[in-house]
Amino acid sequence: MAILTRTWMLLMLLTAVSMWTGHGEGTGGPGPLGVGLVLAAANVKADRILTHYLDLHRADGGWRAGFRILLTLLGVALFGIYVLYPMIGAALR
Amino acid sequence: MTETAAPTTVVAADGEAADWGPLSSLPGNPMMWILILGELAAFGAMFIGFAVTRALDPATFNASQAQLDRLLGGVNTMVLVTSGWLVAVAVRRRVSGRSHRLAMLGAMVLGGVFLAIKAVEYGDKIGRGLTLETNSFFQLYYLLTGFHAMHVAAGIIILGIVTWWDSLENLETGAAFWHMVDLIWVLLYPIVYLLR
Repeated sequence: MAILTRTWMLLMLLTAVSMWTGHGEGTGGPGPLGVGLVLAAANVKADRILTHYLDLHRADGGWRAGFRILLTLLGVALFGIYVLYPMIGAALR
Repeated sequence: MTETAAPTTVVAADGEAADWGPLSSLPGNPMMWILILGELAAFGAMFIGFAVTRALDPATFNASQAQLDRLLGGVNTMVLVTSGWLVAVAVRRRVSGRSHRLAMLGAMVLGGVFLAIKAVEYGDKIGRGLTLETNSFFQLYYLLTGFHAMHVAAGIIILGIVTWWDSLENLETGAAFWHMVDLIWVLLYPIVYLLR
């Protein structure tokens, strides 16, 4: 199967997993594990788009590592803010 | 289908290959990568700002987010991801000398479907009195999704231009813009619609 089609199928699957994990009536959240899963799925999707659709696999390894580090830092920062929000909110008020 | 695209080299006016330093190893036009880095930084800062604002008032954010249609947002993600796949296929077909215009047309149509679904969402929210002035969640919701929708609209025009003037470099550059729009949305959707 062509890599582009495999990438598309993975993106669709991860989107469905995110929808299922983050879905729910009302304001009840997915919990820290769910937040981590949804953010990890988004990170993998972004990485696959960069690697196979934007053809980053053709660039120097430094660029690939740089984009991965950027996406990972963003994901870790968001995870930290969502999991530690009571402390962050109290500190900023 | 051929999966390895030939690297495109940007050629300067004097016929020499342009030297972009470290940017030279990136595929397509280096200017597009500068734009991609800038957009990632801008949206990344907005995502962090969204999360910090939520930390200050989680009850309002959770109650407001419950008003969004998570399923419709997910369907729109699938629409945009499929559109990105069609653009990637179009570039590969162009590299191997096959017709790519049908795939590009399909990608543009799906871009239009994304905007139509977004318009339905906005119409529903505004009809229920949920506007920019409702609270900080809806201010950020309209700012983030509206700014992204403007990129989608611009992207459809760019795809149309590079489908018509379809040198490989034009096509790769237009495709890179579209994939950037796709990339931003796959990060935006969980943050605005799912996480709470």
